[in-house]
Amino acid sequence: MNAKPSKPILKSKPEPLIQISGLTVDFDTPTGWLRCLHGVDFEVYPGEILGLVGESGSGKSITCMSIMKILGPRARIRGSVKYKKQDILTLDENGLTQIRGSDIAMIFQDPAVSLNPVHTIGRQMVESIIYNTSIPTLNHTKESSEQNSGKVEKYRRVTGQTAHSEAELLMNRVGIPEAKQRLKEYPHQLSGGMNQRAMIAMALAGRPHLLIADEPTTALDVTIQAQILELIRDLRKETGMSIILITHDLSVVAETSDRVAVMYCGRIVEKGPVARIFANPRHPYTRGLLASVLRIDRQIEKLYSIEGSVPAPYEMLKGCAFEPRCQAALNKCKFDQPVFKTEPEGCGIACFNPQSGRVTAFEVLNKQEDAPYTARQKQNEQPLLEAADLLKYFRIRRGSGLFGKKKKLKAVDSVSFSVKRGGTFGIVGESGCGKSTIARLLLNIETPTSGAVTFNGRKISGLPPAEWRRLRLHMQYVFQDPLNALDQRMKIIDQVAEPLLIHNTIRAAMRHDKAAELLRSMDLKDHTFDRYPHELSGGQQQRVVLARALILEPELLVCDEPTSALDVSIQAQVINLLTELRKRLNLTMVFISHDLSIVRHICEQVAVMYLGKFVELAKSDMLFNSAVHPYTQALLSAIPIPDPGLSRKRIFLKGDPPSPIDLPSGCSFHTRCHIARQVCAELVPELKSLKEGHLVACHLAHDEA
Amino acid sequence: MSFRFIVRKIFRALLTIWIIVTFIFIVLRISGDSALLIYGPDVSAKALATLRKVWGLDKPIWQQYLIYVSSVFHGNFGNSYLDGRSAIRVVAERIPKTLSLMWVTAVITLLIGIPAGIFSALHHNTRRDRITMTLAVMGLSIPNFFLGVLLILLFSVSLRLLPSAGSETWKHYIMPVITMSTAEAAVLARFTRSAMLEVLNQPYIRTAISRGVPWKIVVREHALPNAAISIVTMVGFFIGSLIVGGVITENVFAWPGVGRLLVSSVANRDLAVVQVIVLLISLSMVTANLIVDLAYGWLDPRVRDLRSEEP
Repeated sequence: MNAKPSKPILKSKPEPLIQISGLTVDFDTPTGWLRCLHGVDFEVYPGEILGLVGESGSGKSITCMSIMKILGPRARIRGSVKYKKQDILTLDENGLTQIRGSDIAMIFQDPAVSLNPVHTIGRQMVESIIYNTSIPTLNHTKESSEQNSGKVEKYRRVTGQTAHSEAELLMNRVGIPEAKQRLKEYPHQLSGGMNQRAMIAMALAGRPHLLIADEPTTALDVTIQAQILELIRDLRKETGMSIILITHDLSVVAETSDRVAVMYCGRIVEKGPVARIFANPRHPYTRGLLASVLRIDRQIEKLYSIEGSVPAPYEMLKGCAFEPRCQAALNKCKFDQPVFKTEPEGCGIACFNPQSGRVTAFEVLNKQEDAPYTARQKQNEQPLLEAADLLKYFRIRRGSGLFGKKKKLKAVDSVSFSVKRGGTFGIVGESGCGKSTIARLLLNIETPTSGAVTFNGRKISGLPPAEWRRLRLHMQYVFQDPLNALDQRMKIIDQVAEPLLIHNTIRAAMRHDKAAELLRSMDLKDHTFDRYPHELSGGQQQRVVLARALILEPELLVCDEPTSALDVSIQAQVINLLTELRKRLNLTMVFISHDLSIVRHICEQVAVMYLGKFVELAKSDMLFNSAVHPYTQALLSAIPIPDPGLSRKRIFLKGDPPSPIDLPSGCSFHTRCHIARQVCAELVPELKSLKEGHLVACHLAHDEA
Repeated sequence: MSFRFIVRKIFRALLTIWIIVTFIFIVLRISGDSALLIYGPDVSAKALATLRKVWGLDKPIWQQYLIYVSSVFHGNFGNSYLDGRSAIRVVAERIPKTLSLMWVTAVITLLIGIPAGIFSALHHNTRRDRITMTLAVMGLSIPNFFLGVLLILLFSVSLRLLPSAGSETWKHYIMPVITMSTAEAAVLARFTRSAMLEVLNQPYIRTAISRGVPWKIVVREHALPNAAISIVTMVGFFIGSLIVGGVITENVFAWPGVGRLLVSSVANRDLAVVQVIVLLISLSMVTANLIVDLAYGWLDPRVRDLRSEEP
């Protein structure tokens, strides 16, 4: 690395490290060339982090993959990508191979599928090192460069031994503990966070000048996201490399980037320094994105959402692509394409009617003239749903041999809670903490090892099938990934009507009418009824899933991460719909999510779960304003906030949650806790009442109180 | 790979063989009378009864079955009804001929099918791909027996270049091997192509390219090992169809192997011989599948881990 770390905000402009101009990409389709990028211009300066933002389908990934020229043979790329005075797009395969990995490296969204499943991490690391070591020495430590001095001809002749020790150094650098052991393991044996670290380590092998990170934290838990973002910031500081960070999450941009470029439908619509874009977003799309971000530090009644969804490339009309969804559209926006105007200090915008002023969800809310709804009534009723001492163990076999040891996996360990009719109960925690198992227990999909679920005063496990069927009508499930939860070969309307057929509640002739009515009430247009799931957008799909769950008019809705597969703007649509439905139908809801901001927005009561146990349970406000358990505090502090100016003290959790098979002694959180004492490793803390309606399982909380 | 897994697999394999053998035993006995077939329709009822008694065919079928099973466990597979020699021996002397034909076919099929599929996938959607795949479709749409007869007409009858029957020289191998491997290689090529295409679209291939790994190495180190996992499944089926194809081809080219013996023994109701052959075929099929199963674990570390965790 030759470049010194340079200040992100630049007074006198140095040469950009990479300059992209007029980048267009067309794809060869059976119906002809389909244009997906329409002339993208931007530049990245040495040592800066550029956030590339937009909804899915806006062309962010295509942009970055064309920089690396890894779009495959069906893409036609035009324009220029100037890197070190040469145009990458004119290089042949050989030249590209030289640049990839060594000058420009890339990390991808889902580390679990972005690493080769049949090779060990070590083998893939070594490969990266071998193909990206160009000049004399490859080791950056002093002693090894002394060792290697004299041997100048090291090009591509790194020995396995050298590469292996280099791999270990890199693994240590990205914070992977027990690097030696990890190098021998396969991707599926590591957690998502560890895989992402390993992928970053591989990207660092060639000491690149530019790192492209394509949604590097989207598939990860918030706590792990915070760790990875911290790592990326550190690496930038240390190596001085530039980073393009592709993300749909503006909060992530606010916390990491120096400059932002907002993309929509294959064009950059606005760019500028982060502070400026967040303080004074001008493009209506940027404003819309900012307004739909849920904030953990604010509470609002109704979220803003950009109407509709990103049009597919073949649906593009004349004029500004954002016009159909734009609140500030002028007449000419329909016909003319606004040109991107570059302004001083790296700013620029493509809009005929730029807005000004800071956006907050409050403002937008007022514009929508939607009165906040009144709070719950009838608090004194009997609970509709009750879980008493739920316990779910799975037995799994560990180790080989004819009689490999069977071990208990405590997925859910003594969990009790109750939800009143019309109430909303949220369960949050990292992946693998057992929250989805609870959902399955509540709906009798799994049978608890001990304990019971009571619905409307009746114990649901052990009911005769016919009775269970009758009861089942009143409890429905909403899944995480709408596309996978729908039958790909069944029309929308038929899928929504199907539960009526199964439970035979109304006459056949009425079924379709009822389904259609429900779909209409969810803002789905009639012409979508005869479509198939893949023809709908993610938000529409999730509304279909909701409609299917609601058509039986259930009393209880269990939602398992219903929005985590969706874009921010779409997520807002779905959450608003859920809130409204709940109000209108007096639904009782159990809402499971890893996203605390959503839970805060929707739920009245929230439980925080860690390794099968509730560690804190309280009224939503109480939990978010005065969290007591250190785990809850850490979760809250891990959430990025879309406010670049905000400085706050953050608690970073170290590492991954321990395996639920070998739970730590005492309080299972003590291994990652920042305030743990002796007692925590010895005694299991009980979930005890701290004050009215606030339960905490922490030795220290109760000591202090 | 866990030992437990292998033990369970072998147990299942034995169960499969037992079911097949039982099924064949019963079907053969209810579908025709061996004694009648051997002596012909004009023989006296007394002679028939004597023959049946000698071979134990007069007992109820379940008793015959029990006797058969117990003698199998004593290593006695019965004698051929036709020449009285031990059925095992009758079959065993045919095995080398069949094996020699099969392994030549297998090697040629694998050498053509897999590279052709890889070639096609690497040139996806180009003329080379389309030509290879057109050839493959042609190859698999011609039935074995038809291709065999066609080859005989061309090379033996018209051109008089190759012998049409027998197995003595290398020339005898040419037409049977072509006949069998055409369809097999075609199926394998198509399958390999789709397996490769699927793997080439995986994110880890893109990641490898972006890490600066040269394309050749990406194909060799990343695409092939992953595609091999599904190709191996296909190879398991391939061994099965090789046996089936072998029976037909051996008959077309009068190849003195097990396949030909099977057909004649079924026609003659030579029960003991048929049973031995069926046992042999199911044993080889089951072994092939067992090897495929083991190969999964060897090729795919995820399967390896899953197996050691199975309840």
